[in-house]
Amino acid sequence: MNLTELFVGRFLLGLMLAGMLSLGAAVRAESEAVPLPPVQFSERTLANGLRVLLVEDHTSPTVAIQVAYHVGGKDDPPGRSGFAHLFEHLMFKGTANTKPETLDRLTEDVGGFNNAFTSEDITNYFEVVPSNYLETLLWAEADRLGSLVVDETNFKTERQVVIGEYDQRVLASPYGMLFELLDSKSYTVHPYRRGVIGNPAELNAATLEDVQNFHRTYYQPDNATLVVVGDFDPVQANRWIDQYFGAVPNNSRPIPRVSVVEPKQSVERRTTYYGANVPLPAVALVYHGPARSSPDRAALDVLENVLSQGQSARLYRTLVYEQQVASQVSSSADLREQPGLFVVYAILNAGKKPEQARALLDGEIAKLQQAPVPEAELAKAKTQLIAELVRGREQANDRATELVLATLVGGDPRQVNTALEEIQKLTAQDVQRVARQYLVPTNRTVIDYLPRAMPPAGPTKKERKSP
Amino acid sequence: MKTLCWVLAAAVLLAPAAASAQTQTPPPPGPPPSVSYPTPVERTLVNGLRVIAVQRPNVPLVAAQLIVKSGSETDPPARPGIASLAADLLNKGTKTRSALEIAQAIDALGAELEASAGFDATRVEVSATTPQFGRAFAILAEVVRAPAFAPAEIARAKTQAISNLQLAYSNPSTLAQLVAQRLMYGEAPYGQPAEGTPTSVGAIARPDLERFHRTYFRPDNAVLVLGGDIAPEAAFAEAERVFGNWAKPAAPLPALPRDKRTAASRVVVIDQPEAGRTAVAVGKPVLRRADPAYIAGVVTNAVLTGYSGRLNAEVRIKRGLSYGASTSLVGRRDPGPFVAATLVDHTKAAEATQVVIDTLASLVGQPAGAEELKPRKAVVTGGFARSLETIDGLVNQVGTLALYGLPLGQINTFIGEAEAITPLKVQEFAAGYLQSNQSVVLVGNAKAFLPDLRRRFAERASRIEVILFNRLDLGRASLVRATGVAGK
Repeated sequence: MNLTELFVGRFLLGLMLAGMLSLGAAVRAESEAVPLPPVQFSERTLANGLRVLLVEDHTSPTVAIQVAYHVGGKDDPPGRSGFAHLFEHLMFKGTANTKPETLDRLTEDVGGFNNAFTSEDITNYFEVVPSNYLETLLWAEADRLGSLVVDETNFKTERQVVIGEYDQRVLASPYGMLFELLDSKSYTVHPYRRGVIGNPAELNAATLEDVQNFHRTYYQPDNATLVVVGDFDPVQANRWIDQYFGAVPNNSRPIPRVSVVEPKQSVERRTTYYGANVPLPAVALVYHGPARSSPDRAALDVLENVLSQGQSARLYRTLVYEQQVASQVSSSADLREQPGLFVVYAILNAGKKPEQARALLDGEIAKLQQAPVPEAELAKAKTQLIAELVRGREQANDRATELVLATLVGGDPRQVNTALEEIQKLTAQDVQRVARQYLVPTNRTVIDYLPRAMPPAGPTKKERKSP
Repeated sequence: MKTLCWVLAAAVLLAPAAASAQTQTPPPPGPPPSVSYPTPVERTLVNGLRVIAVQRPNVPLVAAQLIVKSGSETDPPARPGIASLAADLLNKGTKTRSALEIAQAIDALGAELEASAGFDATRVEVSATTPQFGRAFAILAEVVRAPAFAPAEIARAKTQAISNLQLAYSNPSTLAQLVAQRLMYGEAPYGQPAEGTPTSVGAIARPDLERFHRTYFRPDNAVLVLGGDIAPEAAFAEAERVFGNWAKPAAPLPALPRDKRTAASRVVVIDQPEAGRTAVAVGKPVLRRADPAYIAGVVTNAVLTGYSGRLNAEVRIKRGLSYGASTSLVGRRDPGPFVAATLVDHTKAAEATQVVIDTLASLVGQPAGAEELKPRKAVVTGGFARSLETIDGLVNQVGTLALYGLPLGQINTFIGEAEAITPLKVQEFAAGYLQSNQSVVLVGNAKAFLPDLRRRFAERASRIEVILFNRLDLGRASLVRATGVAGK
């Protein structure tokens, strides 16, 4: 049997099905393949530029609504890190028509929930409610797009909340600063180096005018994507969307986009951080990777899985179980709208040296470069990744998030229907190739993250001051 | 006077925001959606195993839950914690596979396997994608039918369980719930701590676990629910394949423990001076899950709990006594508990206790009208619908109906039944079930609130029991460690 042909066939069939109105029986091309039906979405753009993606599904009498703004940490103005995240907070304050926290009352009090997140590339707001509240929530989301009150009081209150969040997540959490260092030490010029949460000094320097300017620039219909998944009538939903979102005028000012390109790294960089509240040393290897839209994405996901998913994964077996050098190991293909990172780290056991852990991590990475992953191990990785994909399709809100990420970070909503085939068609050679291409020393930054009490072996390096 | 204040506060809270000429108001909801969940079908195997299939093929996932209709209520009074520890150990090795081999097999299938014990049942569940389900299901059957209870794994699980208990006791809110359980049920099985005590867990030995498993894990004491992307006939065939030769023992099933809940209510203070804040819990045993009044109970509970529920409105929004206050109603085979709880500054503990009791009484004196009831019912129906969004959730709800002998069709009637609860039903439920004989527990720095508590509850002041935390023994209905026993 020619596997390649078979997968190409399934791939084309998947696309054809995606274009049809109703879905027939799921394809079961071979006994082991998971018959995952494609996500049937409709797509259109309103006159004011709002992109709308709808998925009708009457499995459950609920509906998930997401409004994603194409603005994240990388888009923060120079000297104003943390603005995108600050806005996530401001969007829950009042509008011209509502009191603060109205969104909470419109969701929690009807048996639903709401939340939001900010990443390097997007800010996403979402809620799940009983489906008869769809119109109410479409109104509320359009209302906060069109009439948010950005005043001195809201700005100052939420700025304090965000600075409190920084204190808790970055300063008080033992490994919080490590996650900031991954970005700040591996990017030299790209704004990804600033992270998402920002820093108190820059937030405190901001004026209300800066904030209002940021809002007028990025919180516009043509910079937003509305995704609705669940139990609704598309004709009626589209009417409401036209009525409420269509009425929001678009501001014609151009949206600035990050065009800075991180130059290719050519020598390994090393850095050491000493923190007051670090209980056990950690080491991190941070490699530059491709963008999320890269064809290498699936192979890097497999690499991540083989290294660190579950107790049968390679890093866990070697560093935690057999050598007992580390208490915790992790790897992650952190791919983004623009070229991202592949991060490997270990938190050590008491009394273990960072160089021991680095040597073991390097050994495991070298094995992946020297020989292809055995078939059984590759099959396990694919099975786990596919199961994860399938579980992500169960709830309307998860499917909406998947569509948002594919559209704004991956660049194409149709990625949700090609992900399965991309995992299935991977070979052990693909995985070996990406290990050789990306996981090389000249492409990485090595971070030793140590307790302040730990005496440095060489010349003293000053502790990084909290911003 | 308190009553008057409450009415005014409610008027402010519940009145719609006055709309000026320019502002818009949110459009109201449409009619409640019609709901149709797949109808469960069932069959009983020759060995007595009841098998229920519920097909929902929207995603290629299948989940199965095996419910053994015995849990912590069967723990002997001298040794609580057996059922819970047995559940922890089911997937930690069988007659043919080690704990690590089970973990590797489950990982390789991309599956999830979990086991847990409640008072009324032990549940073991697995989920996997459709092509992998058969193999994952066989592992579920293996851990249900032939757990090894290996000594090394028992030792590890006991250590873990004891550190979890120590963690639980250091949290006043968790401790208050455990003490409330003892106050409400006394010597009855629901009064025992399901996770045991450090002493009882330390004493559990392999024969205890094997006896629990041998006695209750049998096909005629179990229900199997399969759901998701699997047709009923295929589900029944799978059940037959892995459980068909599960032999039913000749010995009859032991009778269920009788409900012996205590009628007398108690007021107990656990003096834990080092606690950061004081936890308050007020509760009483209420009704069986199968009682026709249960759904009125669920709606009544929703009027009280949640951010906008009456209790949080009184405790947090109106008085700022606490970050939050909530209530819960648990449906069980015998009458399950209703508990109202909050966490406050030590000096406010007596006041908070009074506010909790008064708020429960307010449901009778100032009954919820249709306007107040509407959003609270939406909380109930919306939460129910979301609980059924996943196949795990669907299988779990169907399993609960089966466990308590309820019609499986309730999965499709529940929302309508909840919507039909009238203000009068809520008032009647509150009057009939929630008022008298409440047990009260406060866990915190007693000297900061005892005088205030004695003053506010003057008629019960002589009955307030104060127990030092280091004398507390949840293994005894008296809650006090026997004198002359040294150490922990």
